[in-house]
Amino acid sequence: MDHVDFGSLDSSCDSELLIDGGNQNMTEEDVLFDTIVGALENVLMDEDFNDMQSSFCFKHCGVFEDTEESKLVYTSLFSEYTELIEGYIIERLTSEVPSFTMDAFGSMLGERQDEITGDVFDMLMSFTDFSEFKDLMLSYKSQAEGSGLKGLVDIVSKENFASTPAAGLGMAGLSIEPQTKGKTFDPLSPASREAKDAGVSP
Amino acid sequence: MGLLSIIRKVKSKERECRLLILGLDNAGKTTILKSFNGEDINSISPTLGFNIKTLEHRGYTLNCWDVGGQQTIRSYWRNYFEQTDGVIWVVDSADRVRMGDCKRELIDLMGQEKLAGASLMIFANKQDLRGAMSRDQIREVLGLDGKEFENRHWGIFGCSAVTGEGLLEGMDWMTEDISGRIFMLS
Repeated sequence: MDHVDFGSLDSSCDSELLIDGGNQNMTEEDVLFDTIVGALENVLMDEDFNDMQSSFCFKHCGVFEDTEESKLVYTSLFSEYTELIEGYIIERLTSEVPSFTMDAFGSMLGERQDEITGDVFDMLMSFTDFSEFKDLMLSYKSQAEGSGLKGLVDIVSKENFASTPAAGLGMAGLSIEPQTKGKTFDPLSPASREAKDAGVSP
Repeated sequence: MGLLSIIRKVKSKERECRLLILGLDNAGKTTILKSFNGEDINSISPTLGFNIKTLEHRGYTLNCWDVGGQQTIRSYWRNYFEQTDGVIWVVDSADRVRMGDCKRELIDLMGQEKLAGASLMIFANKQDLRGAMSRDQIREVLGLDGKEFENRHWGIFGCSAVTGEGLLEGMDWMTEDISGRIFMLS
């Protein structure tokens, strides 16, 4: 990860400057809130997060079809997806911000409705939207099918495939072409675009 | 509540609600949704999964979830209860044979804890068909004035998805009831 702004999470100064423009009257809770939001931003930009999301999507995108009607199975996959993402985020926040608890953060969010703006929260919000999930899965599916792009994939993936964590993570039993398994297309994928967008400080 | 549900709750638009459209198979749920949305209704096949449509109505955003009603998939309805503000129960008014099933499923649904606070609007659909039971007959046969519904905000409207008659009245009632319940409080 090459984003440096949030390098030191334990320093409240960093996040204070970025999130709040350096307000002098911050309470302890404000500082904690900003620290958590900073950590959250870090987690979402992290390659590990992107890999986790990608491997879930590649693993399950096969059942998705580009029709108006949705299959019942999409709903259980959607719950699995949001639970996976939520579980991952909470685990990371818990380890990176020692005083983090979901209960406390939950009530902070409730009290700060006007501050819940920007890319991090837009991205979190997008994880709760079924239609966005369906679109994401469909775009992974068309990537996996690699229509017309197989030649390109072949060339690039020789370098990238072996070294990606995603290659070994939840990718077993896929029916997609082997050469599309790697992270070759990640720069083009919506997931990765979102992650990059989210990396921009408000 | 988890992180994502909290974010959604805090960030969601003020005038936005979630409606769940249920009823026996062949009641006309998808046809009602499409007809109300001004879409073609000539080639609708039985819904085996579900449809989602976001409608703008009287300044409100209505996220409508229309789930298939065949007996084998009714057990999946529960996966769609979460955060539902209103249930639209669609009845095929001409299907006298299955009116008992219809009542049983509705009462079962209304007993579900996650739907405890949801408004209930019943569409007595297919009023354009000869032999259709009237709105009042359906009100009686479903037992809407009984104790199962005494703590429920409910309304019943005769309609025809094919002609479009009655749809607006029902949706207006639903929107007003939900907004009266939720948005006026905050």
